[in-house]
Amino acid sequence: MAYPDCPEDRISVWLDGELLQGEAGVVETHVEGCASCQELVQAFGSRTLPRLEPDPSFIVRFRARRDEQSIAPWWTWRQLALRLLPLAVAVVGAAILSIWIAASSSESALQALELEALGDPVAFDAEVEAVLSIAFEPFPSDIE
Amino acid sequence: MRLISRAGTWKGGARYAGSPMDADRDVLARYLDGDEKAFEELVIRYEAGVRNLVYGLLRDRALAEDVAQETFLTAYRKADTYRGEGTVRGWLFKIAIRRAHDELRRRGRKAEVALEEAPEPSETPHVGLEAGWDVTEALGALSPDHRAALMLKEIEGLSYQEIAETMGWPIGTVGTHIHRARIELKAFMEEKAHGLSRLS
Repeated sequence: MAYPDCPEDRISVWLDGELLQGEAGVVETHVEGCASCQELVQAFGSRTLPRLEPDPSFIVRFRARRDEQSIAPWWTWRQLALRLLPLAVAVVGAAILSIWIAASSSESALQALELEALGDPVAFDAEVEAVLSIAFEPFPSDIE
Repeated sequence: MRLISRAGTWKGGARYAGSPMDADRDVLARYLDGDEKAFEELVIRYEAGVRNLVYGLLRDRALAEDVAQETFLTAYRKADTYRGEGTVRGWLFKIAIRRAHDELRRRGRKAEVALEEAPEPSETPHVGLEAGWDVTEALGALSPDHRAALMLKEIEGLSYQEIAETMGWPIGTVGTHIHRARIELKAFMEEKAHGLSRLS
């Protein structure tokens, strides 16, 4: 495959070694026979970008800043959370237990109150029967 | 986090043992295991790269130092956000770019334009081989995306794949940005050279 026009956008990729071998060969062949593309390749390679050199004091400033901001490493919060987890479980458990105890004791108290209100169940039944027998007694007019 | 490193995988599921990028990942794994000093190895290894990148985006040396420091402090606090996808270097650069963009947004274009108009006098000029123009000034004429792509390629030596991962672009976009950046730099330099020749 040959390029009808100069493959300017491919030249950049070719220079970076990011073209597949087949296409790289085609671009290379084109550049070898094209003065305009050779000029482009030369222009791309004729300057260097500004580069800051390593700074040995950067790490010192990093430590100072980290300590100044009291920044904890990533695991600190998790460690704290893990340590507090049993306590949290115990508190929740205790809360559930106390609610359950309170519920059970209130149920027992209610039953006791009901019994107290109703008294002896045998006596209660006799009392009910007596009331019913009075209620169903015929009126004197009906007797007549 | 012992479970992560003992299992030999990151949270994302990618294995970190046995690959060519092990050195950085092992250092990060040591830090994740609780070796606080290990993180400092990463700072020493990549401080220049991060400063270069941020400086290229912000064009202010003091601000670049500040943003680079914040980049490493963010990584220090949130090291568990690295999920083993891509390189550790790319992950750091991603944080740096995000921070630099935040800074650009915060300061607005106004500050950037002001910096472009008045390059720092303390800066050593980086001249092209053909004429006495300042490449730092030429870089300022590029859009932040073009600048970042070109710097990641030419200064940091990242592959297109790594740049794509770092910037969150499709790989084709990486080539386009780099190409356009080079064409724009070339045009800027030619214009400058033309101006210089007219003056002399």
